[in-house]
Amino acid sequence: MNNDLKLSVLLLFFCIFLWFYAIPYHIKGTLQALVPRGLTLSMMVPCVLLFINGLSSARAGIKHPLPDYQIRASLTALAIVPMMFVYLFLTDILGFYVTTSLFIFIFMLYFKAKKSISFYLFPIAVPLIVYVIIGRILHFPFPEGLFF
Amino acid sequence: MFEQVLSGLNMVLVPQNLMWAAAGVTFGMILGSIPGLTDNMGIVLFLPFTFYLSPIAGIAMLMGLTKGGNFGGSIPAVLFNIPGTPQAMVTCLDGYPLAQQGKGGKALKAALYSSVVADACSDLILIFLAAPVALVALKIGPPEYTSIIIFSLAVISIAASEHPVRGLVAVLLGLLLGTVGTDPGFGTPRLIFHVIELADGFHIMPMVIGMLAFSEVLIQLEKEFIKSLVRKFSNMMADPDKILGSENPDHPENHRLSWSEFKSILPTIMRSTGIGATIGIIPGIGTTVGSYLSYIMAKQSSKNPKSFGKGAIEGVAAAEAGNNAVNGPNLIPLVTLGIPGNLAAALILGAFMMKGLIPGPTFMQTNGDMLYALFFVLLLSNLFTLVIGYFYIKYVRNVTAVPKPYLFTGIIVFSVIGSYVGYASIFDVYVMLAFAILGYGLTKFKINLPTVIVAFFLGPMLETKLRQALKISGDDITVFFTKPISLSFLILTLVAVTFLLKRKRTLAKD
Repeated sequence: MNNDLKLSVLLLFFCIFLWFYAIPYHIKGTLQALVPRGLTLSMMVPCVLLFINGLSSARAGIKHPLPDYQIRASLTALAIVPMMFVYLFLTDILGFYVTTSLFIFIFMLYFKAKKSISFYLFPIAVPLIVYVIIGRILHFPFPEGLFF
Repeated sequence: MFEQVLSGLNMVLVPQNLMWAAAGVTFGMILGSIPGLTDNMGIVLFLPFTFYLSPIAGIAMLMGLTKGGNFGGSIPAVLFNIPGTPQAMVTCLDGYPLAQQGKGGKALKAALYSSVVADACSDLILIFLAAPVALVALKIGPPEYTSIIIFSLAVISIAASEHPVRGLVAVLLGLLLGTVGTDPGFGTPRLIFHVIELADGFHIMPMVIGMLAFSEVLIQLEKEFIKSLVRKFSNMMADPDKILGSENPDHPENHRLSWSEFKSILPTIMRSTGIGATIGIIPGIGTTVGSYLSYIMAKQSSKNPKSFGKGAIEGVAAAEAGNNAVNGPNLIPLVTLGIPGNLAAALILGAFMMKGLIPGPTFMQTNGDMLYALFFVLLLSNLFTLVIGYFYIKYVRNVTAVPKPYLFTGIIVFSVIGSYVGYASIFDVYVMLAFAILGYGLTKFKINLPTVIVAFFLGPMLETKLRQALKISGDDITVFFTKPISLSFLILTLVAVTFLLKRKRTLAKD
């Protein structure tokens, strides 16, 4: 399936989700739903155009297979996202500065940074600078937890 | 009148006032460089402080803050792809690729000079054309607003994307995202899925940071991992300690903007100033739209449009000039009518009132010297931005020389901080992450992300103005065709769409 077909199918599912679930169950009133319904209907126009374009490309035999290494690389990069969720979850428990320091260290390990003095200083220096400038000078409160 | 001009100049040229203006520019630049801290936030932070200063010193400081903050926002946009202020998001498009090529200094200088030139020109428009421009601004009501927004969205959807259909998807997606929150007409919740934090809709800063900065980190990481995997598969020499590639060489030439380069971007700066200033006349449309429209027009009229998005200095110049040129005309309703055109102008109006000064139609007669002093302060603040900015970027540009693991980690942390500080809400950081994933996915499908953001920004305004226009006219749709300005913009939309589609077709054939 080429890019145009994939996008049109995804948009179609998105429109179906909006039209049959999100709008009727999460908007009260016909007039209130007018704008989202109008936009959902309008979205069908590019959806159909992309589908036609995708079909004609498929008939012409234009293929864009995704190599294995690309999928592996995408998954490796996207692994940052669950790590971020853990980071945010721990921020509430341990506090912003401690968690940030810990996760800077983890990210640096994940990105395979060279182990030098700066490798160990960076996780301390960044939260410290944020604490001095934003926390102390500008008096901006960051989430506090068990430690700080 | 001449006496008032001289008196205004005398009021400004006091060492204490100059010092506070310079301090304002410096603070503004530092605050603007911190993602999430905007110039408006800077004004709020320093407004109580100005109470202890003389009227001119206080206003000089606040004006300096806005000018410095506006330019400051472009610094993280160029260096980290994180816009320091929402309007700097367009600067990311070419500023960050330039920084990746080791030309961060050049990009920052192009941003600085474009900002200062455009801001100074827009101040001159304010000084010399305030009265006629105010008359035009007064004629812009809901029908005119609606047509202008439709024009902006039509131009953006076709011109910004490689394929117009994808541009349309981007615009519609942005408009749909803009419907999340509270219905502007009925005040009822809309598409918030019982999440109370969404009652105000998505906040712009987490959205911009997630879509532009964080998703870019994911894409860059993926590219680096692909490189290392390809090396591994092809049994080429791979350095496991340096998975994230080599850094760019630091040539002094890469940080200089030569006179010939400046001359080549000058027409772009002047065109973008014109576009930005026109947008600035219309209160509320904002700097982001001015910046993006200027960028698109620069791309359309460039001899090398394919270089846009890959590190075109013209792109940086257009974005920064378009964004800063909005500022002067935005102050026109404040100075002539006493009506603030944007949030910064509203805060400055507050500062005026704190000093017992009420801007409005009679302000020129009652406080003429003060008004001229304000004009001189605006021009002087530009000069300070140029000088302070020049030295400031000399130091901050070196940030791009740090190894990629440090840079990516820094971007991740500052994305979290930038999303959090606006509303002190962890929920906004989750929103930023959600938009990062969305941005990553949309990039894979070649959907233009700034178009989504601008459409999201304009969507609620379009809906409100459309409803107001229909309510005023008793649901008569011809109101858009009977008002001259509205009709002109609708015709302009048709002409622009036809022209842009034809141009796209010609370029595709070539």
